[in-house]
Amino acid sequence: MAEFIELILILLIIFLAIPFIISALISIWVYRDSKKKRLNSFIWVLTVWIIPFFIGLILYLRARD
Amino acid sequence: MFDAFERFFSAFFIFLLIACSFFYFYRGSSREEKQEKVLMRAFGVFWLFIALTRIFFYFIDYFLAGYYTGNIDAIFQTYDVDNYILLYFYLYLYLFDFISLLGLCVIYIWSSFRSKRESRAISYVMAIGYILLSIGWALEIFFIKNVSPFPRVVPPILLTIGVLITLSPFFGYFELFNKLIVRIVIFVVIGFVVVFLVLTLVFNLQLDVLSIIIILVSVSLLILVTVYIIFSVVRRQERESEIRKEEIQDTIKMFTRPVNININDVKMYREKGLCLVCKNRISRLTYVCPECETLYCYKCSSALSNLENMCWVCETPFDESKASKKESTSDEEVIID
Repeated sequence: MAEFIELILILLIIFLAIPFIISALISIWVYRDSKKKRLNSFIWVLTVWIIPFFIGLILYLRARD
Repeated sequence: MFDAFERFFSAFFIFLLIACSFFYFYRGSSREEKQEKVLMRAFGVFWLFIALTRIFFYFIDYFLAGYYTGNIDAIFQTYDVDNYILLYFYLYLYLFDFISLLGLCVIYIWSSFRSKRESRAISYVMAIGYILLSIGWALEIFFIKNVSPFPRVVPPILLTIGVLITLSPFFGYFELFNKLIVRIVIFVVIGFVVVFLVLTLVFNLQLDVLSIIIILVSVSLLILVTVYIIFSVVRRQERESEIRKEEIQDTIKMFTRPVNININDVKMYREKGLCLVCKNRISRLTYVCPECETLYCYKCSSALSNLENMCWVCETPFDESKASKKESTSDEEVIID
């Protein structure tokens, strides 16, 4: 049982940490870049954050060019 | 394991999510600015994605166990590769949605401090909605669900309320809300959630009668105090606005001429050194009517000279160079004749 809980915890940390760190880093970059490009940073951070599988990021990259 | 209410609310939540996503798509198509269009459509995609995830969760049991169990952690005990792949996908989707909801909470809380005054209320409301969604989502994680003291129906209800709150800015004029109303709304929503959770806990845990009575009495007291605070604040606000309205009316009334002024009134005002208009004691600059010697303070005389430009007693003009009301009305009468 202890091993089972340990496995769940490790999985959780991996599952929680990796997507969160990646999404947070992308959002920070989008926030800074959109400010530089004079785009609405609030809208683009939200868009990148909520659209799954990095589709939001692709949309942003298209919009900034 | 099977809870009919939980299933009903889960299904209702999925229905709401799909409706919500279509609503966002519709709003997105009606926006003129390109960036707003993108954001609305992004929200549409987000809600649709969550709806699809919920549908996936809804049916995953059937694929994994062959029938509905609602007990996902049992799958951990099986050593089937297909099951693990499905479970991995399940966990990924679950945590992705959870992180997205948490991120939206943070973004809206941040924007409620940073945004303009008129859109601050909307940010607060959205933040509350996403907090409820996050709580509901967190309570549904399978290993929390199994040890949670709350009934299984609680998370879908919280999720449903959360979605409805996030949709509410489209139907209410939140930009007109002042700080006080926003605080009351936040207070009521948080109070409602706390009371709801406490009551469900009370009825779910097998407590003895005395503790149930103590909890119910304290919750009722809390509700009464909350309602009293809200009503007193609203009454105070109403009274303040009434006083303000009365003050405005009085100020306006101050410059309306009384119907009957007799010579005794004028004498009394003159003897006491009071202004005929505002009834205050005249201390510095005074205007005395050259015909009837009625006293006016400087403020009232200048205001009256701009308004009707004639003495209230003898109708002599304050300023000879300006047209008085009497002259203008008589002119009008001539024109009409």
